[in-house]
Amino acid sequence: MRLSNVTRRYGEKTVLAGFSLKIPDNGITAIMGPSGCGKTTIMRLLAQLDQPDEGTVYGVPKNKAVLFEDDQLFPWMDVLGNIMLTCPDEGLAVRMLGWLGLANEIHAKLGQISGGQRRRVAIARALTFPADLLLLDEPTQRLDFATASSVMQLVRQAWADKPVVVITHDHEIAGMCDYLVNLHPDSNGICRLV
Amino acid sequence: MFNDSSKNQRKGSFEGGSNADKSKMPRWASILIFLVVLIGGWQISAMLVGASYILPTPVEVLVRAGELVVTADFWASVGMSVLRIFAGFALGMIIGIILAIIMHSMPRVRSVFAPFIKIIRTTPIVCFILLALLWVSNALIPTFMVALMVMPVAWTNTIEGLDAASERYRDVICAYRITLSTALLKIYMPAISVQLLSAAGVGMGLAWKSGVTAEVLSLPAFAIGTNVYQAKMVLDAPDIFVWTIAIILISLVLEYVIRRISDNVSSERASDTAPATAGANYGVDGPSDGQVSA
Repeated sequence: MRLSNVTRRYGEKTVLAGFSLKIPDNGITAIMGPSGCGKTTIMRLLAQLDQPDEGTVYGVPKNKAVLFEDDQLFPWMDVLGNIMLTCPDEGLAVRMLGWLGLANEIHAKLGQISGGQRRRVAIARALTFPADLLLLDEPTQRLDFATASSVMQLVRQAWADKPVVVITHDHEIAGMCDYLVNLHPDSNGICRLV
Repeated sequence: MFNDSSKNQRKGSFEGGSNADKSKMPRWASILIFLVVLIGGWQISAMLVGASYILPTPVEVLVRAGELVVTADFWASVGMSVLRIFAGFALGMIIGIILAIIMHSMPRVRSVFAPFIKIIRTTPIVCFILLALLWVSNALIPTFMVALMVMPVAWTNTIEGLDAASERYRDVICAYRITLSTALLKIYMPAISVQLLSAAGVGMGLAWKSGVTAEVLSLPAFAIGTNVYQAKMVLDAPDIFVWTIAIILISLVLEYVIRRISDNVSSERASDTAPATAGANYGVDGPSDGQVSA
């Protein structure tokens, strides 16, 4: 998987200019950097939710599981319903919710659970979707360190032989990953590799 | 734990609200005062006019109502009007929703046909009725007119709801390759249910006004509008009042039913989206005695 000479502009603002990056075919790659430096733009390009203005994104598999920064859950469904919308295996969905500490909340509405629990529901949805690439945008936000560590271990076990990309601010979470990409905006606010 | 604190919060805010409401008049008292003013004003006006064929007294109308409601024709007229108006309402809602779905998924079709719906919305109903009298059987005109009036309301609310839901959920639908039919049934329709019920509430009010107007002009058999027209032809003011009160009562009952359903859905949706505890969205989750990461 590769971004080659990619440029992405949003109106007047250029976020990526001639940016290139290779993502390994397996293992967990962490992309780190300060807010607004283009991390989510890279994730959106890899998820093919966004197209580059110039350059090419190569080798992205067809099926991708994406964890969005804002969860993107459906409040009218219960916890299990949110997972089952995209997961073909109910047994796997129930087991995954159990592993994430949500066994007692399977039939709870989203309004009845906390923000951190909702984050774990979104993680469960991403981990149970049959895909060849896992993209996680700030997966451990709203989680304490112990829960975040468990989530990262689960990701490693569930996606051992497939590529995983983790967008994070957290150095300790980045330390649990196999590869690290450090980004920083230059004086014009354009994303550069450190 | 979350539910309990949530209940406590809600209880607290409810009690705060009821304290604030103490200065307000009870609902039954305001309704009673409204009826006394209405009927008293009506009685005084009728006595001043002194001609029941122009303005009958409330007692005359009540007596006439007592005579009419025991006749089979009265209930046949009410039943047929309700049936026609309901059929038109359902037809207008269905066509409006289907057109909105088509135009939402085909922007080019939308840019061509959206102005037509705006034209229908702004054209006075009488113009359509007079044209329909030339084209359609009289018995069908009220249903046709109601559908024509309700359709733009359903279309507008549906397409605005779909636009908002699409903006909100486009990424997740695209990323997880959710099919159009699943997205429509399990995401878009629930997401726009509040807008749809709002359209139903507004549409029902419009349906009654346009339906009875169409009946008055097209005079189908067994219709409230036809009875209003015939009463007017023989200067039977008490009859006109009885039929008008019947229209108001039916309209109020139907609006009440729709509002109750709408309120239930809205409050359910609000409780679905509200965090279980204050600030839960921003809270850190995990064991209660866990260490919060730096």
